[in-house]
Amino acid sequence: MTTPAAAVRRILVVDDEPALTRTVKLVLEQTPHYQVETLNDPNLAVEVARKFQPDLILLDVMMPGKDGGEVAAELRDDPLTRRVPIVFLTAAVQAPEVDSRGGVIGGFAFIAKPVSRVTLIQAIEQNLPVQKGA
Amino acid sequence: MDTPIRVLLVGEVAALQPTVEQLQSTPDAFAAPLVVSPDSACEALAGPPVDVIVLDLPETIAEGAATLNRLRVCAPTLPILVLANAVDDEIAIAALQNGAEDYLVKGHREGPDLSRLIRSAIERKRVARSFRESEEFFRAISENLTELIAVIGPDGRRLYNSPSYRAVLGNPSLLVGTDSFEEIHPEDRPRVRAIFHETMVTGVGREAEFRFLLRDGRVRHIESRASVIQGEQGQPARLLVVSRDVTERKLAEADLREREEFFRLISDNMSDLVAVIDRDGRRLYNSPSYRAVFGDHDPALGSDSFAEIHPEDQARIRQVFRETLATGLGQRVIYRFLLKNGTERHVESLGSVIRDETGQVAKVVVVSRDITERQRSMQALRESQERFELVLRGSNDGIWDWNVLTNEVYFSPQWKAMLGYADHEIGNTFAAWEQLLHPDDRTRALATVQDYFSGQSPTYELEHRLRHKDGNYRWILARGVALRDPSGRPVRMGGSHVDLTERKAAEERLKAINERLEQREEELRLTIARLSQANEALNAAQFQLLQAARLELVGTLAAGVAHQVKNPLQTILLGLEYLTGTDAGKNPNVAAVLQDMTDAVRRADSTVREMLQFSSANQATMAARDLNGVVEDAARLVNYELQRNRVNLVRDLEPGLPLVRLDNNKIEQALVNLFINALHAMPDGGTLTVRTRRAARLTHETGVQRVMIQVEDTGTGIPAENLDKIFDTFFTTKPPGIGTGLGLNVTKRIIELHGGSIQIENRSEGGVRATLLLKVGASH
Repeated sequence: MTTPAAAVRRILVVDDEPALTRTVKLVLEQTPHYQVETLNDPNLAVEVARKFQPDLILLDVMMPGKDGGEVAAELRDDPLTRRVPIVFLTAAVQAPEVDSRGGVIGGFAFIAKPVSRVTLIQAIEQNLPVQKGA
Repeated sequence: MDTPIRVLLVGEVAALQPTVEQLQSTPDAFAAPLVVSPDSACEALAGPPVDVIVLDLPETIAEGAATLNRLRVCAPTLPILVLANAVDDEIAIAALQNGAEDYLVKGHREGPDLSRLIRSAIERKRVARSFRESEEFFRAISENLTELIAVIGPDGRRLYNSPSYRAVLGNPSLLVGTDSFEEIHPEDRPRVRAIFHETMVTGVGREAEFRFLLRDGRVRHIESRASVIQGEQGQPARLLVVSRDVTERKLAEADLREREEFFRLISDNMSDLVAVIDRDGRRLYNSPSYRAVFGDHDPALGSDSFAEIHPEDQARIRQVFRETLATGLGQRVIYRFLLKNGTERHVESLGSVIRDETGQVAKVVVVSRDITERQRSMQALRESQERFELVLRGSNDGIWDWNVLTNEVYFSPQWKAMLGYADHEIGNTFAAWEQLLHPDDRTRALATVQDYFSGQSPTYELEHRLRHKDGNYRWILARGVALRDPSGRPVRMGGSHVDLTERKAAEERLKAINERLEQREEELRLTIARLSQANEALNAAQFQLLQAARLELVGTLAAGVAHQVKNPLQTILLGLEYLTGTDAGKNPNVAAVLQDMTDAVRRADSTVREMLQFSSANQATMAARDLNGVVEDAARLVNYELQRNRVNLVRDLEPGLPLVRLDNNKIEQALVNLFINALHAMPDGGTLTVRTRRAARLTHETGVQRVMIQVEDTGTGIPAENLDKIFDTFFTTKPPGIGTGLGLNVTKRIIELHGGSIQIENRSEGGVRATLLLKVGASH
């Protein structure tokens, strides 16, 4: 599952709002660096991640059916997804809270909604694993 | 002369023979003479009457004198002739001195001489006797009259004073030749002298009144009438003055005048009415006081004295008047005058009778007194007394009357009955009361009396216990009043006793009930207080619950809203940024619209964030922290904004501050809010100073140490009218889109959550200063 464009990173966006996942995908893919897969049903998160093999997962916290924390736990439990960095993108915390904790809450990176494209990309870049061969 | 003269011859018959013969020579003239011896002469004189005695004088003078004396005693009125033997003057003179009328010498004048001598002696004797008799008469008159009779010469000297003068001027014989004016009172003397001279000139006697001023200083009043005694040529030669000593009369007159004046003054000036009434009841005199009663209509003199009497009383008073006339004894009567104006006056009268010379009642003096006022006050007094007695009988009060000087006390029967005693069972002394006194009340009772006596207390009122005959004590209320002598010393005191026992018992019961009531009331009050407290607590709890519920709801809502809003905002924001990066975004108009929309999203985001802060300001997670570190963190959060607005941040942080238990997120939030407010107050830049200090220890909060944070700006300040509203929810001075009006309210709630305080004020040098105080080691 290697991709030819080594520079292009695979981002999985999990959020129950299709409009949001779509705009994130559009914004990120406006740059040549990201390939974005979106998912609106948190229950399918592990399955899609195993298939898509993202470099980073943007995960909403509050979702109907299953919240971001549970999804993150399931991802950590799966050997195929265990090492994929997760960045929470949430409306449940405030930007200052996130900032004051250096973007990390409970060991996870957090971005408070609403987030600008710049901030979003900064957060992604900070959490992406070092590129092989880069 | 026709009757023959009877001659008694005394002497020797022989010696007298010639004489007998001589007398018998004229028998028509002389009866036959009787010859007796000197010793039997008196016997003979007791016999047939004789007209004359002829004594043949004895040889010696002494003998002759003795015989003459004897004869004069036996026949004091008969003339005595003596016959002398020779011409012997000595013997003859002696005989004449011893009372003989005349004498003749034997042999020389016998014959017709003897006859003539005898006739002459008899005639002389008769004239002398007659003169003596008239003198006797005159003297008797003069000596027995009380009138003073004086004869005064033309030179004013006294020639004669009657014996009655003795009583006035002393021995009358010594007055002869003295000046008759000497004893006249000097004040009267010139006047009397003038009258004297006038009388002497005119010859017409006058009356005069004058005074004698006697040597001993007494004054005698004299009334005189003078008559002129004319001399040989008819000229006034002497003055006969008949005077009367009228001193007694004068004095009596003066005395009478005085007494009349005295009684007139009395009757004029006394308020009593004095009237004199004749037997017919007519008025003879009214005292001036009648005017006081009758005014101008006072009864006229001569009028019927019963006319003014009230018709109802007239018959009775007329009867009394008749009785007075009959018995001469006055009676005291009370009746009424009926005045012209219709008013009645009550009078009390007493009559006294005046009798004439015959002892018959002539007049009645009536002294009356207007007793209308007295009657009224008597009536009032009677009524008041009756009322008093009624009250006494009705009230069951005991009465006492204490003679303070003797300590005798009158206790009324009711006084004694109150204590179960009969009248005779308690003595009338102060000690009787003392003995009945309850021992516990004794000191107070005596002190109460003493205080009243000394004037320390104005009234005497004493509640005390007295022993009843049955051995129990009764509560007695004593009240009294003292009579005092002029020095204020009480001499008598009287008052009443009222039995308070029942009242006291009732009072006790009432008091007990009251106490129970009060206790209940107190309990009730406490219960109410507790209830009220509980209610307040409940209210507070309810309020807090309500507040909490409301805040929880707000929090829940805010969280939901935040989530629901932030997701769309995220979509919009990224969508706008996507569009900006597309070709459409290269159109300047589109780019401007996109930028506006992006700003709008950020404002919406900011609002949501504040709402979340507001809703979460009530819970805190406390930990001991370094306040300076929290300040630095907060400053870092706004650092970018500060630089962008050209605001210089000055940190003035005191090192080594004690740790403060706080929720650092919340305090950061509070500080960021203050920083943001300061920033907005300085749109053209300025200086923001943040300061920390160890606060001065406050005396009233010993042991509580505080740290202080101050945030100062150099901005526009807060208008005075807004200073008291700045903490209100949704109060804001910022333009729409800049503030929600929640910031300061959130800040205050956070500080209060930490048990601290916040104060915001305008700085005198401009700008605003916010001062926060947090307790060291405080926890919530």
